[in-house]
Amino acid sequence: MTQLLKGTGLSRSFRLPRTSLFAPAVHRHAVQNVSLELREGNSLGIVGESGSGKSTLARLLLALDRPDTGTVHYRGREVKPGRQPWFRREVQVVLQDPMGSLDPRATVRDIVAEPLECLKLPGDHDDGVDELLRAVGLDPSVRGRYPHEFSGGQRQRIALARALAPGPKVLVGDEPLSALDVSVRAQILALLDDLAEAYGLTLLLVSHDIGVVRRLCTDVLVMKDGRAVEQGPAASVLADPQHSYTRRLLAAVPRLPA
Amino acid sequence: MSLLTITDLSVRIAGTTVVDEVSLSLDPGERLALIGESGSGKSLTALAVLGLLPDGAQATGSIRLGGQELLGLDDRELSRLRGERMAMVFQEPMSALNPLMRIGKQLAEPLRLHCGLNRRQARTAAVELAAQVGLPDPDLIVRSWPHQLSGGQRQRVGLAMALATRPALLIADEPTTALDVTVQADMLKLLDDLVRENGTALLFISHDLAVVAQLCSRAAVLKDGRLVEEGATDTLVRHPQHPYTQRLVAAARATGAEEVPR
Amino acid sequence: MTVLRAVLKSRSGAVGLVLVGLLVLSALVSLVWTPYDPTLARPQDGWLLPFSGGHVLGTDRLGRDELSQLLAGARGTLLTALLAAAIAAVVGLTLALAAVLVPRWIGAVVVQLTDVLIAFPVLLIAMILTAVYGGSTWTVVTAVGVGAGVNLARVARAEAGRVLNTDYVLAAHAAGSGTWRTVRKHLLPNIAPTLVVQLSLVLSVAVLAEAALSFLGFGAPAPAISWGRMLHEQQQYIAARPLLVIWPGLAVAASVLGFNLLGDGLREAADARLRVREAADAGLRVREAS
Repeated sequence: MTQLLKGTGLSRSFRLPRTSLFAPAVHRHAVQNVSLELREGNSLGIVGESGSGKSTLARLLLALDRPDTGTVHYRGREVKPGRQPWFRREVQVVLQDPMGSLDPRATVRDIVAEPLECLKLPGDHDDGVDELLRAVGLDPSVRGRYPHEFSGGQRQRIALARALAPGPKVLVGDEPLSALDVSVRAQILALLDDLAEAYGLTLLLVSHDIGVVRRLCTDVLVMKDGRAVEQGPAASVLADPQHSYTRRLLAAVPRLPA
Repeated sequence: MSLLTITDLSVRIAGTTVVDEVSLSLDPGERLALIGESGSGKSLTALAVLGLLPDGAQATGSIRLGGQELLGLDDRELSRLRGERMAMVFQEPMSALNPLMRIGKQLAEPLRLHCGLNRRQARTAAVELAAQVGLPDPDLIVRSWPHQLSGGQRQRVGLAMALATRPALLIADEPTTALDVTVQADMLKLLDDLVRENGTALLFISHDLAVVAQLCSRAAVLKDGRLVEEGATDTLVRHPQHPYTQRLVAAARATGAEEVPR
Repeated sequence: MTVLRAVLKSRSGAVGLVLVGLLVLSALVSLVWTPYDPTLARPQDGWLLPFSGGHVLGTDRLGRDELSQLLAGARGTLLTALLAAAIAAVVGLTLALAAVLVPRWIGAVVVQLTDVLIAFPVLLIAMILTAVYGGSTWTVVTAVGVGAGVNLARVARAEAGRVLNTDYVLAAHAAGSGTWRTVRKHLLPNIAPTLVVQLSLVLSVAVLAEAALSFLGFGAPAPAISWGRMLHEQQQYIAARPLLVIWPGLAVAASVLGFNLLGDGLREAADARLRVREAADAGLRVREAS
């Protein structure tokens, strides 16, 4: 199996606002020395609670943020933060809040065509947009509408269409289901599963929801306070967690009576 | 005799019916879950009970608390009832706390207003309340400001405030949705214990079937403002009758944490 | 057109639009027609009362037609206001973009500079400029434009900072969008509503500043006509002919009010759109758009 995305020794800290003029600057270590790799055909779930640094880690892997130390490689080539068109064609992202991630003043067509235009991909972009909308289960006639005219699930479909536009190999989902209603969540989850199959996508899923990760991912990485406390195949980590935090996390998840 | 009886409650906002002839009843000490997705009218139903509907919303029908009709009561009486007989815990704990008031003072206020305690008694009671909801180091907590607390701690303070006057009815609107799973688990256990100890009736509003199943014996499902199914939570989850409930349960199972065959 | 309809929906917006419309109309009419030449002095005809000798609003001490002067004054007022707003827009936007887009320490310098500039009142800057370069429309326009521009920069900077932190800007970068494309496609359209509201307020400030400067004798010199100078010239006769002072005063007040109300209307229109969006999020709107 080919190695796609690889992060080595990634760390990132943020300076917190000073509490007083004379207080020393305080840094919060959002991600501390995390290494991981994503292989073709596998899918990796990054699990953690709020403040665990999982979203920061995703941003570093997407080259949308600069690590303090550590490197990101894609197919063996180093990725530096910036425009990096070659990398953007291969790795795309879906964010959590489907309202916030769509420009309220752009039409569906402009939103979905954005990567096509930015990455100067060949072909007729209007046809491409129609095809993408169909792929995510939307009628192409919605292309002239604005995001606020859609429900949460439909907006997340639009965001998915945009992510699929450049024909990526890796799709990073940063809590792509968390802002959705339960029944819609199930639909988008199924869609994500289908699309990954149809487009041969390798998924990297950031989520606080172990159920979603269990359903979609072959590997899992558990984060707590910026560190990776446990990683390995999802089946073994979730069935037989080694780290006490993973055990607590699993025990806390509410379950339906069978 | 039931504690809360809602009969044919409808809420209209700007000509749109958002709650449509909902009838529910709750016995003293009972726990009822109101399940629904966003836009189902579950929160508005709760706000109607508390008399806190937004401006421009009209409620018709009947809401009785211990035999007293709530619809049509003036603000002063409602506000007195909200302090003494019913209380609410919100989804976003920060919104229920005054950012400019120390925690202790916020806890003491309902006690002084509704239970006639003096300043010193109220302060002692506030520390006790903080300890009761499992806040670490209650003496320190009552002297802190809301922004110094974590989300879980704030929600505990919200719960303490709501239960301070030992109300007969507690309405909890998605109280754990904004929390992390591990914090949620602790919070649910605390809610369970406190409600049992105080004999408080609980109207628990949630979109999460799994959470509801842990806490409530009875559940009602709302969709687009209508009550589609009501019954024992266990039966509802195992043998849902209405197609919408079936869809909800299937969705919860699909995204739930149980082992699913791949 | 949807914006126009939304503005007309609010009462202040509708009134503001009418008042501003009157100002624009007066200015346009004065370009092709005024009852008399507004600068033509006919002292020999005497100091005419309203509705005498064909002068609807009478004449001033020098025998110039009051109505013609008012109409011609509208031209100067509108021109000053629009030019000042244009300068304010350019200055404000440039400073705001500079503050958010360049490396942080340069941005911080820009921010400090604008904050210092804000401390100088617009009128004071204008008076200093006229004292140095002599009074002209351009001095007034530059002073008001730059002064209002730094104020605008502060609002625009906050708004731009907000937009740059949104998820859709992050998503745009993930889609391979460069900085300038993001500014053009996402930043500008999303800060435009706020800027338009602010600019309508700049217009009212400019009208007031122009009138005040002319009144104090720092405006464009004769033969240029300005409401402020009309006030200045006729104030000494206020006991004899109060109407001659009241008309230009009313014109200034109506224009300032007009731009202010229009700003309010635009803000309400923008808010109304926001409210619709929030309602949609709350699920109160009919679902399923496709």
